Amino acid sequence: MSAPRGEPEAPGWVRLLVRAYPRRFRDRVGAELLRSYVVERRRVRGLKGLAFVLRTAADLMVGAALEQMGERRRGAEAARMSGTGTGWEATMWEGWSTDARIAARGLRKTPGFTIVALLTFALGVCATTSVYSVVDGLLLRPLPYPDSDDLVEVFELGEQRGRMQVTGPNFLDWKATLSSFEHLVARTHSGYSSASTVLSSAQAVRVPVDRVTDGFFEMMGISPVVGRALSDGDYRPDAPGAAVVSHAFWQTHLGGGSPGDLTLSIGSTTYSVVGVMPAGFDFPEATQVWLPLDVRGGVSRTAHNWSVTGRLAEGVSLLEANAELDRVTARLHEQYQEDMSAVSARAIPLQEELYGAMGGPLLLLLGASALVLLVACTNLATTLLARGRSRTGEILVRTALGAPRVRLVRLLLTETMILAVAGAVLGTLLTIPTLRFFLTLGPPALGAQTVLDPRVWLVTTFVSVVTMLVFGLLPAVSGTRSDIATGLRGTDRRGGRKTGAWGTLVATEVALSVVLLVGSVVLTRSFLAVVTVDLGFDARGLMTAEISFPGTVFEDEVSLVAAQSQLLQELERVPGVRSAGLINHLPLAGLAFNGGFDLESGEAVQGRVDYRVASDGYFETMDIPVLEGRFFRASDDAAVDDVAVVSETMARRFFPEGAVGRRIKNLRNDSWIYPDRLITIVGVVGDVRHRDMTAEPVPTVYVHSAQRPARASSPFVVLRMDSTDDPALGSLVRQSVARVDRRIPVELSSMEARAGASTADRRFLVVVLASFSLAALVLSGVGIYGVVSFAVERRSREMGIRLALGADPGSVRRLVLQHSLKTVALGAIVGVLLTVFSTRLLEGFVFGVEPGDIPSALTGAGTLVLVGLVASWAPAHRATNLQPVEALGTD
Amino acid sequence: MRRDTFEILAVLAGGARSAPEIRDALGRAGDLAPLATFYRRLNEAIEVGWVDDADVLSPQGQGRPAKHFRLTPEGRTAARAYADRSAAFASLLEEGERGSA
Repeated sequence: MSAPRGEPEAPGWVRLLVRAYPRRFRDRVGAELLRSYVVERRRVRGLKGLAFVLRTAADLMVGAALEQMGERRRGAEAARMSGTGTGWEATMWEGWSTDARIAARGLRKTPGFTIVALLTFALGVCATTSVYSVVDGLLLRPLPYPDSDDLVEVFELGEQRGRMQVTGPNFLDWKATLSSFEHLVARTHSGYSSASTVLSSAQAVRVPVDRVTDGFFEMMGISPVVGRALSDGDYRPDAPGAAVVSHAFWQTHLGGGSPGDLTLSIGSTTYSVVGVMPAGFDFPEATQVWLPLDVRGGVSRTAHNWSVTGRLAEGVSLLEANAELDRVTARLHEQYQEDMSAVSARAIPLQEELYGAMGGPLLLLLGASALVLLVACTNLATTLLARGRSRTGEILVRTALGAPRVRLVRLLLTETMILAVAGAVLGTLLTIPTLRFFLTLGPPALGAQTVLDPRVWLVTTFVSVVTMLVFGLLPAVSGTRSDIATGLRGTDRRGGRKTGAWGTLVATEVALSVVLLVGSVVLTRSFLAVVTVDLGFDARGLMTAEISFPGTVFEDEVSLVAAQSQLLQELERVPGVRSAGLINHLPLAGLAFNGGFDLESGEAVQGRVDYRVASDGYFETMDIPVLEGRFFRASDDAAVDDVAVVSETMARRFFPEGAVGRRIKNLRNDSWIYPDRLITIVGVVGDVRHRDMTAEPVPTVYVHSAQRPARASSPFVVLRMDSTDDPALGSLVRQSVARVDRRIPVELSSMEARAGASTADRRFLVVVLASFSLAALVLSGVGIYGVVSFAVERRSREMGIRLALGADPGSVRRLVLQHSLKTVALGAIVGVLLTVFSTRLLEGFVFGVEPGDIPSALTGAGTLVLVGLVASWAPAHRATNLQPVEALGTD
Repeated sequence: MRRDTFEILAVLAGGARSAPEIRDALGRAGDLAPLATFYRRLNEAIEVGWVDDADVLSPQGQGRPAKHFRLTPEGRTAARAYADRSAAFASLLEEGERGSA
């Protein structure tokens, strides 16, 4: 079965597994199987490669077992039918079924042990299967588009290798030059324009809208189910507006009508609906409406406005595509020099772009779930070991009656096997609600692709069952090794003080639990540091509403300013609302414009200054303190000089001698609409964490919405409330907004909910890891209790003698506790040493705490020692109540 | 007959192919069974006489050729019977849908 000369050989483990198949199988297809493995393994890399190896390993093992069983069954039947064979194989089959019956009977007789063992194993299977399902859904399973491995996201790289969106002219040059891509499509930058107000005949709604260049639907490989996709004609400058909508949008907002009769208004344009995409298609980022995008008008090679997605040409690898992309972009940079900010470009798999950020945390959880499985299996091994010892008498009677040792080992393994299979089934049942819990708790991306896949279940269950069988082998072998004479006496006097294997297993269990617990403590402390961070405003009692003034209704700045002002007045009249204000980009909403500005002298100031447009009343409503000067006033309107308020960081960095009274102009984010207008800084306010709860505040300039209405046509309204729990609030706010215009959609949410959403991924990581640690803690407690109980039972004779000789019961209790705590302490020390390495994996996930934090390590170890003490107390107390006569009478 | 066995027979209906070629064809056409499962199905098909080895000349200088497999007349009959049965169910479904419309 070796590979033909010149061809690479399959790895040793694959050849070994194929050797486990019956000879006839190997002769027919063995060599071909190995050859296929080599060919197919070469096609998959990274995590997908690992998944392929695991899946193939599981499949090969299961296949070998089934083929061998089938072969033997056929052989046994043939021998029996012909009457020529010895029939030993048929006897073996009967033996297996007898073993299964005996094992099942034994398990029924000891329900306490069976239930604990089943739950322990089910917990391990559930933890592993749940996390692996999420990992498989997001990182391993292909995206739901044809040949999705060929889809890539393309972006530009600046001088410092920083990632940037793509400029229009560069995109067009790529499209004309690159041969590595079958399709290249530019899309609206998803950050600031994915949600738009869409007016249909019936209602106005805010939904994600994406504009795409031609070839988008062909690139994705998905066609509309009703009507047609966007065609070349829809991209002509004089073409009437055309839109394709998602199936959900069509059903929910357009009543499932015929596309030809449906129109939408977005901004100041009306679009005819020309097609409906299949249910479930909403790329990118839950898009509901796709419109044509023409990037041919752009001339700037420094305006990075577009996301670009591509499909690799057939037979072209990502490496080759990147080489060409790099070459062409470098040539463009050489040609345009400082007029082009990108120096290079890169394509990465679309799946990595969409879910890559989740990879680190998920792999961390996968490791943690594997630890839970190991703790569960270690626990089971100790329990099985103890059970094996307590059945020494039964086993020795069987041995004395002539049962061979191999048969007894098989009997005990059959018992383990029954427990493993039943535990796996129970674990799978537990996985369903656990996965639901994960999806509720986790970030939204988790729900997109996570399902309990039979393939995933097969892999994790197989790994779990094999782990359990390996752990079950130790007690099975050890339990059948006792000496008949000693065993039949009932007590092993020689081994009275020795619990070597148990001690090792318990110490291992404790060490693994300490690793999990310390990780969990570090992450919890980090999470607490995040949620208690000073945001720069008071989120309590703050409601927010996303408002969009339709461009078809408010066509000029005067009507827009009037509408904004009327809206705030109407909202302040709502019962329970203390004050109201508006801003273009809300803190923690993940949106920001930024750029430099000019001083009054005309000197350009380069830098990343966040640009925000706010109304009067905004700072008071948010409870952002004024540090110098004043807030905005209602009188700061278009009739007076432009004013600005700057953040503390901006004042310190750019105006150390004092910001109030200084004048600036040409803020990069509005100078194209309001060029050369001098803006006077009238106040300095406290810093706000706008982007992320863990990101340091950046310099921010606020301009007044009445003086920049065009930059606040889709603002967020903030309301300071007496209470955010009033169920009537939603309808009252909607009524107020409807009084301004009934076509303005409103989506309300509390600021605390927004803050919660921005920490969803951290909360998910903390809760799952904390659940795993708790499970490990309980399992360790059960394990320690079981082992100490058994040790007391084994040493009852020795303790009986001590008590008979007048020993103080307290000293007997101390003896038991000392012995138990020595083992637990050893495990805790090993665990703390392991955390030195394991917590390094947490770097990048923690905030405000060091991964190798000593107090966290000591807390974890201390908790385990405490659990060990509590778990040992009851058996130790039992030891003090031993009756010397009974203890000695066991001999 | 299992569906995946039928799929193997269907691919071989077009002529003798090596096992990796069959897997490639199945990968393009639909779900691809895991490696060992696929070869177990192929082995079963050989065992019952639906598939056997085909002699393929070694291309000069390219080492040993991959073993090729071909459909036997029995295999063709079995695959045809499976396809007919599926077609009968498909027409039942169509009739039902027409009736309910």
